[in-house]
Amino acid sequence: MIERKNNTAGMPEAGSGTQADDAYSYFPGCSLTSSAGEYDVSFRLVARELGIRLEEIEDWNCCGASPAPHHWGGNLGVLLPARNLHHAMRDSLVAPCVGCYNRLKNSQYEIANSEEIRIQAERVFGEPVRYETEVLNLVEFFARVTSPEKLAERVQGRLAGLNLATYYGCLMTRPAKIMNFDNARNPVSMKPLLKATGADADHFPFKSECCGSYMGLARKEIVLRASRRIIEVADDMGFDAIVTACPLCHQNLDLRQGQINSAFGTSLAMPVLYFSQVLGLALGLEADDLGIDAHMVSARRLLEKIGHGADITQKQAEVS
Amino acid sequence: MRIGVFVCQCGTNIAGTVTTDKVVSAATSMRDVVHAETLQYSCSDPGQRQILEAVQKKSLTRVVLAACSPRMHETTFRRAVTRAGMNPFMLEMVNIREQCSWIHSDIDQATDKAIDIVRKGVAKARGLKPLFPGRVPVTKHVLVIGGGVAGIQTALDIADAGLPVTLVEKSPTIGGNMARLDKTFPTLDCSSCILTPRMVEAKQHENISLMVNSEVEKVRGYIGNFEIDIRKKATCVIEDRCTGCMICQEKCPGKAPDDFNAGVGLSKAISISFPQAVPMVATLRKEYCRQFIKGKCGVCKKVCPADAIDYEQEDVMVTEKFGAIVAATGYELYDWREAYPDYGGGQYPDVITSLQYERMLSASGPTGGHVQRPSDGAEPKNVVFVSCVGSRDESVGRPFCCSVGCMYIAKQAILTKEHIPDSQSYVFYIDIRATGKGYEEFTRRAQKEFGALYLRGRVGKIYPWHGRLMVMGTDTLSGDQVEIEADLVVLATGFAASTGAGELARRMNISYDQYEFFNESHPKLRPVETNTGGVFLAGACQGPKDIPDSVAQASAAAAKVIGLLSKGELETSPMVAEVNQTACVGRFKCREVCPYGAIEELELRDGRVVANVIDSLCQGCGLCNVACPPAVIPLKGYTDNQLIAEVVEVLR
Repeated sequence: MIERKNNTAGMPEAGSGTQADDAYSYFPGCSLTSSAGEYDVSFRLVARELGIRLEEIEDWNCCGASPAPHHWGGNLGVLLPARNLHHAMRDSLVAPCVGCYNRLKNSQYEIANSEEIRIQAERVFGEPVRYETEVLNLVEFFARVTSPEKLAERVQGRLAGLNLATYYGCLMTRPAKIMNFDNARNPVSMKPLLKATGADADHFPFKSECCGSYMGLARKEIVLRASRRIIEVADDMGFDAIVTACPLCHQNLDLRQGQINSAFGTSLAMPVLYFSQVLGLALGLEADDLGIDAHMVSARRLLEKIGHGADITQKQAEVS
Repeated sequence: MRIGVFVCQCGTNIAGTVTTDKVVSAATSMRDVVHAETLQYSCSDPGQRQILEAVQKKSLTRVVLAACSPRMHETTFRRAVTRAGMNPFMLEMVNIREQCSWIHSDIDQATDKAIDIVRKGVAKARGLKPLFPGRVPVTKHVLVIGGGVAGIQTALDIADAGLPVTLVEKSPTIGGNMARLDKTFPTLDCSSCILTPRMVEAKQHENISLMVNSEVEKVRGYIGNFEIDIRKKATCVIEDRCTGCMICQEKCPGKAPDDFNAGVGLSKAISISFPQAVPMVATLRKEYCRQFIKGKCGVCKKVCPADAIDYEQEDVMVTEKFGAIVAATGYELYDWREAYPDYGGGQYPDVITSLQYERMLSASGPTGGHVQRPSDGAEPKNVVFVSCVGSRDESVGRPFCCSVGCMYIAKQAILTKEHIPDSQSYVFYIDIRATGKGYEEFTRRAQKEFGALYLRGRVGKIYPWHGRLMVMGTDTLSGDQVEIEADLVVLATGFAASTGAGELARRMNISYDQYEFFNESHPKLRPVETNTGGVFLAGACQGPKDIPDSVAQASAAAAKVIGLLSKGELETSPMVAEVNQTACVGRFKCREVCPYGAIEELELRDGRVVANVIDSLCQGCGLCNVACPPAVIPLKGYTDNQLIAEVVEVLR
């Protein structure tokens, strides 16, 4: 057994009165420590603001991502995430990256349903594998630690006037049998909290369409075509921003929006925000602190709409 | 006592799993059995003759027939033994088909079980006594529930045969869904031109009394003698006085949804559904009326020239006796919105149902026959039809075919071209199901003559796109993904049973399926009967159907009713409860549980008050047998001794 231990190094102190038992294991994964750093920053900030303690899993490793399950074969795709489950010391674990979330839940499912894998894991880890920790995605996590009523009372309609396109992508709900989260055909779980901020979150028909995923490297044109449509529809329907909880979706929709514009001659400028960033704005946190300035597409107009106009510093250039 | 045992092979239905010879030889050694033989098909003419000959040659006094479910052929075999001179109730049928051969595969075990079943039957047969059916008079009055085309047809057929009919309709007018249709496939005749005269005929027929705004509340009694409560809902309009001048509707300030027009356009709080409504009488809907919401208005009362408005009107309960009931409660369109978020879930105004489109095509509809986009009133050029929305889709729990979608899409595509010559229709379909007479030719015409473009595949998504709708789908024949910019999308929504169908079925004590469509008694041979005597089915309440099928079934149901009521009296089953009045202690537990009110008090000469069974009301359900504290109210043909004898044999 690994001793239960609080690894809060580098983390802000949690709000007063929080018991250690209330803490959640936190699995950042590679994206949140690199290209999606602002996701990590905003997540930690909002969690602190809500008085939630996060305990980063000690010596965590790669979730396996796409290559381990799909290209290496064997049980690597199960065992890599299993090691993280094994080292999660809390009853619940939050994995904001939906790729990680998906791999962790898949692994949990495979282990629970296969004696053979459990034996293999025990051989690798040198002890019986612990995999029962509850795995939460970011939306699920916030729905758990706060409620629309509590949030609404606190934020006093700060985001009123915005209409946000909820974009779930594919991994959060699929395969439905394993993820067992929300409705795979029509996910709606972001809506209650977003509505609580005062914003509208009208039905977005492309909420679970594919963004092109990891094709960005091998077949970029697929991503550009798929993501273009998502952004264009959101734009045509008059949304102020797309809200996502997936670093890869964010990359395809935000980072590649300029590529889309040059490839198709469009002039899209649709801000793409992380769910945690939207909650942060609602709680009155500064856009810069939430890493919104790190995005490629400027959110200036959106921020002005909610009264952040005067004090924001836009570091990035407007995408034209 | 001389018992004969007959073991049916039913071809290989039974003999394939049960070794009937072994059952026969086992039966031979059972007590009181003097004859046992196996029959290839006992229900066939030679089979019945063999039974008859054996009864006469061996002087049998009881017959045990091991064959199929008594539900299938018990009546047939009761008749067969009657011909041999036996009392029909000296026959005991045991089921070795549905309850044995069909559900088992191991021949030895199934054979052993069949022997057990036969032994049980022989034990019960020893306790059989001759029974004699009673006779009750029938009430020559028929209740038809539902005033759509099926209900109207049934009512007219029965009324023409000289029997009085009460036609009950829950909405303010008869005509049902057919009255909302513009044209009918495959002939394109005008729906109201063929229906309206029938509606008027139903109203004028001397043998039909029409009750609109009415619902069946309670059903008591049994075949030939039902007693039924019908609630006539208050409409605040005195039906005899209203002349149908529609001045009230014109002046009424209260807007209300237009149910008849499937929600296209608005109606008024007081209104007449449509110009050909029958009866032509206004109905006030309190939930939208200012007089009731705000407590003051009174406009309709002021303007009515016939003084027909009565705000104080209350529901009226009518109780009448009927000999037979025909349920013709029809269907509603499946509410697709919840199940199809991919199609906007009802949020895009230009995605409409086929019935809404039908109202738009109709010259008497809310747009006067002009096809318009609900969002901006513009005339659409590209119209996309999506078939099988809420039918043939297991992912939303609606696996069955609506049976009319393919045809009405073809019809609407043709009409679209006729209304808007420069329009283009696209039809997404799974298969084109056009099995009726002239149907296949009709769908071909839609494509060849009217240029509808048929694409084989489902629509995955509909989304707003630059003021139009983008329809994303697959063409599975070419393997391509297709996107069509549409001005209007028409969803061919499937059938659902009428709201409250299940509740009504429970009131009539008939069975229904998981979608609340009523169950017929036998899918092939008793298609308009139900398992409750005297209750018949007509039209789409039994399952999705088009107009010709509904009308055919309606006439079939009428024929059954006429046949039933042509007799002056009906035979009642003699298998009723009987009180042993010497032992009855007068607690009347039996009366408490009896659902048919068949128990009365009887004072004996010694002054004791005991229970007595009214044979004509008792349905032989057996509830009183169980409730009776001293157990002295046996069911004839199913006495405790007989049942215990059976159990003893099974446990042997």
